[in-house]
Amino acid sequence: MRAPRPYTLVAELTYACPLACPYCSNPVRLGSRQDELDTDTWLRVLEEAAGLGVLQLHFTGGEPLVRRDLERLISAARALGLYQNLITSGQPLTRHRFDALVAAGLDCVQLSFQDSDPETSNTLAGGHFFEQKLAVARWVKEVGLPLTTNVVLHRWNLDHVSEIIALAEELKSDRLELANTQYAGWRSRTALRSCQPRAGREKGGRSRHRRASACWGQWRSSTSRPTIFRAGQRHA
Amino acid sequence: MKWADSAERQDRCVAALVEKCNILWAMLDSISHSFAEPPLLLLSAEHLTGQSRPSLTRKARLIRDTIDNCWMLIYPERGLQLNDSASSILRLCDGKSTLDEIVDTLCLAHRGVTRVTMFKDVRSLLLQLAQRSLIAIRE
Repeated sequence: MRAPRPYTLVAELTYACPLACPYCSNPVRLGSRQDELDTDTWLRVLEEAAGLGVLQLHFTGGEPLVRRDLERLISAARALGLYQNLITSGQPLTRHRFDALVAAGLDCVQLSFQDSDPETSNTLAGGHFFEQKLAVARWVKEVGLPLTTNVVLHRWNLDHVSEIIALAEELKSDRLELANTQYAGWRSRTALRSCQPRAGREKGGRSRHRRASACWGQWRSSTSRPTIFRAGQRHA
Repeated sequence: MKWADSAERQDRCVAALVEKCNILWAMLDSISHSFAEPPLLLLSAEHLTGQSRPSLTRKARLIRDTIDNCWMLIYPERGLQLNDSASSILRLCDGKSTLDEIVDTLCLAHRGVTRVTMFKDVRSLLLQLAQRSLIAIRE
């Protein structure tokens, strides 16, 4: 019997990130950047992954854009025929570098927003990133790549799901991912204290939920684990 | 019930139940949208005629899987493992050939299938994929 093959590799390139979201799912004890795998090691990992049958590759972190060798890794993965997704906060990124990543062979982009409301989004991310995120979403669509918008849901943005869907539509997202908070407990003592809960939840839960889910039909609501379908057409 | 000994406390019980039901409904909605097939009403046969020129959309890529020795159609977060007939159809969808030309090519390779059956089968597959935005249809 053959061992089950992997279809997907999630490559956590770094745990460094310009954002400081209080619910970050980075490991509790982070190594320093010196402990990151170097370029050559990643190149070997990509090759071995392809050999094992991996077809989809997700570059994530932390913030993968922090890695200066990202272009090289993307080129190498493209040469191996992998379908590549960049999971990013959109920061730090210039249009020039974005075009270079696309030229290297990027297939799609998953961009995070902390909320549909710019102010709340910036508060949660710990900096003024919202405008930059809008710009990155525009670039992705301008070059014709598929865009996934991702928002981690929790009590400070749960009442905004309708607005979040509207934002995703406005950005011409191909998919919207509404993610659960993965509570890892890290930095909880310092970071969570600085966030004040929004006063009073909005009323009318059922109708809001209905409205939200009615729009979900346009995007397949997602699970965290990628699903591989078997399908095809048969004739005699 | 012992605890809900005033109108105000009873109202709070009811409110808690309503809230709980709302959460359960939201979960049911999510589950149903995760597992239900996409609606089959968006595209119908007249959207894909013999003169249409189907092609893969930008987000979909055919990748040769050397482990299972088959073709995979990969797109964000998902992939379709194609059987031989599906892959032979999709590899002909270059955006230049018309559906009629694709069907003619396939008929040459599969002598036992009538053209009418072949046309219906190919159109059915392409419509399903167009519904997922994996196939673009141009006239």
